[in-house]
Amino acid sequence: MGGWTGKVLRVDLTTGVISKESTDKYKPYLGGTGLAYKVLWDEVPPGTDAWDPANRIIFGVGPLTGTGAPLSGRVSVTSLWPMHPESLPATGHMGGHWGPELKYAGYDSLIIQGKAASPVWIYIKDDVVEIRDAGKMWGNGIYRANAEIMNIMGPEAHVAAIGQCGENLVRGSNVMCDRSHSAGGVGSVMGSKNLKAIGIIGTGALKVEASKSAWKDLVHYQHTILGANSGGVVPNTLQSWQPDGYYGGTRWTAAKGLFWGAASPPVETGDCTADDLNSIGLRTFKGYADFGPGVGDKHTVKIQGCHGCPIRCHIATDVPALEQLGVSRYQVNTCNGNSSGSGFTIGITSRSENNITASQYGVALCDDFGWWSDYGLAQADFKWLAQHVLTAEECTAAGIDPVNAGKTPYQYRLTAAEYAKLPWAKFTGSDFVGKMDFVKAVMIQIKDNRMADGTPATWEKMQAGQPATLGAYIAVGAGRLEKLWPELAIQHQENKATPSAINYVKMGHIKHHFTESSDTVQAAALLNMMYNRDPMCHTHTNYTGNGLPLALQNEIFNELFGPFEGGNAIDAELAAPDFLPTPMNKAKAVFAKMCFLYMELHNSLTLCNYTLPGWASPLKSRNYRGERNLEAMMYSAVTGDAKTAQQLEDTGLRILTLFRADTARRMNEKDMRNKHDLMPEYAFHAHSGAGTLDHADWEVAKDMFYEECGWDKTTGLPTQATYDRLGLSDVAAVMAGAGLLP
Amino acid sequence: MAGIKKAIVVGPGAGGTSKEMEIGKVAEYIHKIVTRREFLQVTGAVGLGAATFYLIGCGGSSSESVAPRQVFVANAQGMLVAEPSRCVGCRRCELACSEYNDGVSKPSIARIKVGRNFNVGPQDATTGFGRGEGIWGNHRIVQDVCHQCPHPVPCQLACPNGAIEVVPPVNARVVNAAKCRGCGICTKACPWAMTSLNGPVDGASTKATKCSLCNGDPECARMCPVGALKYVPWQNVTKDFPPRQVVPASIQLAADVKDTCDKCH
Ligand code: SF4
Ligand code: SF4
Repeated sequence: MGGWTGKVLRVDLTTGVISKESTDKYKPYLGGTGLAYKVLWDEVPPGTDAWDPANRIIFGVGPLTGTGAPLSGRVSVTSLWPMHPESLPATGHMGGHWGPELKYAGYDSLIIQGKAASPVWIYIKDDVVEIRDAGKMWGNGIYRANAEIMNIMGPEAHVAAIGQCGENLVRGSNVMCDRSHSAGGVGSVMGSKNLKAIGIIGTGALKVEASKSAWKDLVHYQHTILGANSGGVVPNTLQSWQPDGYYGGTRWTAAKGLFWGAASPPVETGDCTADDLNSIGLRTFKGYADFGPGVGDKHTVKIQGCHGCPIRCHIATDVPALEQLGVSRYQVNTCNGNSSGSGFTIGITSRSENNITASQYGVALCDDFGWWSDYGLAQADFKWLAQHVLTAEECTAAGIDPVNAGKTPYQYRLTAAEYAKLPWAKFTGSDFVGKMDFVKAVMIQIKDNRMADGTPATWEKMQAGQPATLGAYIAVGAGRLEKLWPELAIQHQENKATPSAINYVKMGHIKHHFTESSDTVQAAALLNMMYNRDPMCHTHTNYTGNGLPLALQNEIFNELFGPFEGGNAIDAELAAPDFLPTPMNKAKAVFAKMCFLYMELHNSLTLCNYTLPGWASPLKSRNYRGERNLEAMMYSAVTGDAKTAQQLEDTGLRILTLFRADTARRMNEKDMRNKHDLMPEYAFHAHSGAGTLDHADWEVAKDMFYEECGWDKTTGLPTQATYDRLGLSDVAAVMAGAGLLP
Repeated sequence: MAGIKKAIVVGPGAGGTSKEMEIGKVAEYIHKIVTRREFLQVTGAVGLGAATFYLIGCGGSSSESVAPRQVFVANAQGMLVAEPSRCVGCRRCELACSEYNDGVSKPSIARIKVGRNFNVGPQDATTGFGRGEGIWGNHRIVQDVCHQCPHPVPCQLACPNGAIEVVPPVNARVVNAAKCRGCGICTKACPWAMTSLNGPVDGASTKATKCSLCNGDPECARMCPVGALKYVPWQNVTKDFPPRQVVPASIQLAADVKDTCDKCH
């Protein structure tokens, strides 16, 4: 079969045994996150802690990874999640070139288990796999790990490494590859295993089953369907070449006269017409879009991204002012990574020179330390804890003596000595360099992760009431901190006076394209309730953010997945003062389901869920229709295992259902509907900029969604019939044994 | 020996008669492919040359029934030029190259090479990390392309099997898989390391890969999503690019062409 190499690599760090096993067992789950769910289900018993040597960390790639299927450079890094108080399964998603390199080395995924006696790294050069000493690298950042491994393996090596955050068991830590690509949340699992890095050189071949010419035609076809990053199929500003004058709301931000200004010589992004396949990679001018005119374009060297991706979304910058701050003027990251460090500042004007400098300074620190901001929750919480002045009522509600009214939570919770360790005057002051000093001071405290007495911070010590540094309270993660500090739990639920739009959802995690995706409020809420971290799903926003008129979006969706009675999937702008979406309906339930299934498929095949699906296209000649079958066509052509879209969607449902079962089994919870599928209180209260959930309608939404998936409505658990239909009867047997069949 | 700018002196060497060739005639030869036999005939060096040829020649080339090997070759009609400032490092060019030419996804044999410069540029990790090019430096990503060298073409003339041929109409220097024996000498002979082997050295089915310009419509350029690769009329850029590797002293002109070269140089 093409696409797969046929072997999965397993490294046991306790025994030092390196083995290669057949991929066949995992093919019903494709690869990536699907393969990883299967590994966790089969091998890691309920009750295992994320940092237990028995936990696995699976670097999952799939049959398409490393092939010429566009957008196939991604890796799903799945494990029991250390951010989550209950160690439930979750995935961090990493792009770059590391995943394809693993395939070229000959492996369909990498499973790591056990714990090394001392720090190690894994050397993979095609057939040669070795566990090597990482004593010299340990204690250093990700940059040093990359440099050392490239020195050993050669400059073409691709390295996935953790920084000091992962080593020091900061729960919000990541593993990063190729400088700017991070899998959030899982760094400390590597740290707990004494694993610093994995270096790979792969020189082998991946077979494509289709004939050369058929494959070439298919890849060309997919290129014609693609728009821009985040699914945009029309430009963001009015372009004379756009035949219907459609524009707006997309990341297709290139235009005549807009340059990658820091390229040498500068590169004009230009017209980027829909049919010009040699400018796809110029369409998404994210530097300009994110950092603003006159700033972002000036400092953009180019837009980087993953292997095999024509779209590009990582902003490579040149900010000479960084040299005064002691870091390289050249930085690269995207989206939330660009505010990880600068999130610890206030009072910097957005879209200013200082803004990009602060952003890229933060990148330089965070991407070396390997810190993950929990999609911005850490900084949002930090700002609230640092700035919000508690009232007497809030104190009482949180069980704090009301004499502490007038203090901020940090002033109340930290010891005076610990509080004084941070240069707060620089935080509130107006001096820019001072603000950067503050960022650095916080970042160092986070990566060191210490109790006030200087010993390594642990959750147990915190629970026992021992004082910790501010950095350690960030490092422990929001899900635990809110248990320790009830005022934070209340704030998470009520979301009052947050000096940031970023909100907590539930069970230790933040939202991601939640009810602020106001055109698909119910689907967005369903996505946010399902996973054990922020859902990292973009299927919904990529489709509804494609820039086409609403009526056309609904028309295309109905053509592909309908027809539906009872209303459309996508809503028009919601009206003040209630911001209520139209009631839940069948189209919305199917839309939500497809968003889940395609995300699971993308994370398993692997393809990029930050740009796909391709349900719409930029082509007027196709009346903007895209292709529901893209994933199935790619999969079938590469592997030779012919599948229709519907069949592949069932595979997606198999993966999602296995994940659901595994989550329920680890929680030992039959009432998933009420114990796992929670919503924060604030989601039911109207505020501008977001849709509002209605309690009764939300219950209908869950009913309809469970039903779509073949899950029981009362419990939210998959039924025996669904397990059987999806080839998961063995899973059903285990669930029955645990009393978890509905 | 006269300077090449004025004329080349050809002849059988010591004891034989020398002959000067007009510059116009040289130009004419540059624009066509000349086999060793034709070359010797035109230059009047058939007798000795041919004798030497048959004595030293190796492999299939030594038989009269096999087409005589090319020595003095026409310039290419076109070439790829790459713009590092545009390159976003997606490596779709490498994928197009190996998938559409070889039917497998295998960047290590792609005839355009981006991956090896991706991290730190053409430098090594010690000198390039954080200081040079690539994602760990100034974000400049250098795409290495075959220069379709003019005569003397290093890869072509080093190949002991005469397997690198010049194929009209674009006159790219192309590996003839039927003749290639996978010895890997060309991978050492190219100063820019632009040829690769698709298997182990001397492996039973190992063949070399190098840029063929896809008959004048290079797949990599068609695929590049930022227009960083262009197919343009050929010009000699070999002096503009610092060599990537030192050609080992052991790599010399193939035995069956060396003697011919001596006649001019
Ligand atoms: S396809 Fe173009 S942008 Fe991508 S690596 Fe090749 S030359 Fe660079
Ligand atoms: S492979 Fe190297 S030696 Fe041969 S033509 Fe190309 S650049 Fe010249």
